[in-house]
Amino acid sequence: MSRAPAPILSVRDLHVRLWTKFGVVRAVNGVSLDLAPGEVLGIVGESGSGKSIAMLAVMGLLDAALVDAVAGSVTVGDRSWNDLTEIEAWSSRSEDLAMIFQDAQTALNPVLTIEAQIVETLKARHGLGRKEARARAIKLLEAVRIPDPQRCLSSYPHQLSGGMCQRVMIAMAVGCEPKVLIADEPTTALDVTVQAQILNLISEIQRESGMSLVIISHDLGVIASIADRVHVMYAGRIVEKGTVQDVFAAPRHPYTQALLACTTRVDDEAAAPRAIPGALPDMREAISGCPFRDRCPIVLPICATEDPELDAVEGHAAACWRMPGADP
Amino acid sequence: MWGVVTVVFLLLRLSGDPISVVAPPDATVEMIAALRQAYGFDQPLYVQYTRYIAGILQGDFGVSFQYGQPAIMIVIQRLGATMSLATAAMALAIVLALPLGFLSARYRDRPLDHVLMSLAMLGNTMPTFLLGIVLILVFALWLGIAPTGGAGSLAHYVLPTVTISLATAANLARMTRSEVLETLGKPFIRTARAKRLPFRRLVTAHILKNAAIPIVTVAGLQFGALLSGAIVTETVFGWPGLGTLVLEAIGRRDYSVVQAAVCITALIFVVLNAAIDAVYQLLDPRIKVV
Repeated sequence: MSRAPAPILSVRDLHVRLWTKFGVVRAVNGVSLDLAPGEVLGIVGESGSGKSIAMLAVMGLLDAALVDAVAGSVTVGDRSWNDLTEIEAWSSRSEDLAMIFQDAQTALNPVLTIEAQIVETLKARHGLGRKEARARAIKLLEAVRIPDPQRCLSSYPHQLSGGMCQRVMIAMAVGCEPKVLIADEPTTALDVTVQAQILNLISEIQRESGMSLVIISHDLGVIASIADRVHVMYAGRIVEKGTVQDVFAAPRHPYTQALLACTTRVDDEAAAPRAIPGALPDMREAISGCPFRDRCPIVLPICATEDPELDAVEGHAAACWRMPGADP
Repeated sequence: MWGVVTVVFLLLRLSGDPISVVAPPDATVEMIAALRQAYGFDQPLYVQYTRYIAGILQGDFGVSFQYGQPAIMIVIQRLGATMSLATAAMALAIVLALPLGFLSARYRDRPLDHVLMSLAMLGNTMPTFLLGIVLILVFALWLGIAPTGGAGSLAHYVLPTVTISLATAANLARMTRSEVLETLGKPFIRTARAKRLPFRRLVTAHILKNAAIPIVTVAGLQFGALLSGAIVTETVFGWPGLGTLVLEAIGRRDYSVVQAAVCITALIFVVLNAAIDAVYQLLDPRIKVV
């Protein structure tokens, strides 16, 4: 394997603690990741695994009123942020990052036209005048395959379908010409046929522009179809990482194995999907040992006391005491 | 409108005989009968009612017993004074409430928020007569920089305007705070932050525009209430407004003035509500008012 180029986005030892109605939750516990230019990274995990929170922290978009503590460092290109709490509460971190969200219909402002929302973005990012911005907006809408851009511009979000709104979101994000696009469950709120269209669109745009993409999803199919590499998250940490082929063909972490066993296979009707017994550990407590041990079928004594490290080496790795070379 | 007009008519007829107030104490039975005839009170109720409605349709609310002028003229004169005071008070209240409510939301649960919301609570619960008297005491009597009461010059506006607007502003500021907080939690605010919009654009187009509807509703209703006359404040400051006029007219059973005032007030409320609905549509394209 050739030497990897310098990462465009690099996250080190990210910790996030958030206020919830149940108390302070340790949502992200020591996440590190690197993203190469032009690479597509998938992050999978169930609800509450901290995948969205981690990326919102990277963007600097956590709700300041809910944050108890954020620690770690983020490097985008040649700029670094070591004190992650030190962001102006009203703006996001870097011009080189853009993000699209789950439910595009609510992620767009209901009382402004699409035109106003795209134009204000282009003005803020590129300092374009109104006319230029409008012309550029039409180009962008064409690029996301919106059939009648003129009409779309004068519409309000509630007049568009969910799929259309997500296309508008993508157009807006792409209009910022980011080096990294973070897509947080971009297809979750859409129906299946539209999901496929949106995924294809994101994938095409990513290839054409050469930007990097982080795609967050609980849907293994989505990740498999679009990502180069995948990180599996559980209880606020990355438990397995590797190329999509490696991880999906030969999952190493028992959680990943269980996750894959949950999916139905069209080619094997006999294999019924198996749910993972148990639930996520209580995220309010500091977890000593492996967070998955209570649900793990192959648990070892050491799992209760010491947290397995995720190998820093590139390539396929899992944070599990059963891994070869993970001897205590 | 017709309902209001009719209810006012009937309630007033139940309130007693106006002639007994109008007539001099030593009036003879014949004089009273003549007066009654002159004002049409000798007719059966339905005839009075028909005349009354016919009059209103022509803009004629009858003649005031007290002033001997058409009732509508008297009401409109007083309405001018009330309107200018209400408008000044409302403008001041909005100018105070929007930024303070917004600041309070932005610094939620911090000292600034607690101070502002305590002040708002105080403003909300302080009776206007007390505030008015305190203001007169301090600014008119001790400092001597404002007139104690009456109307005429611009200086006369200051104290009553402040008195009325403080209570209104307190209410509006609390409303603004809660609406801004609610809007801040919406997903599109996160989108706007992701887009790195300038702070000003974020606040005006994204936060305030979305938070505006309930604020406009409350502001509109309060404005309507102010237009029907702030009786207590008017009394404290001797302001020649609608509130004191109506109070006085009711006391003297000046039917035509009360009728005219209530009808005008009702009309104002109707117009104001229509205006608020129109503003809704400007603010939120999802609302379609027929």
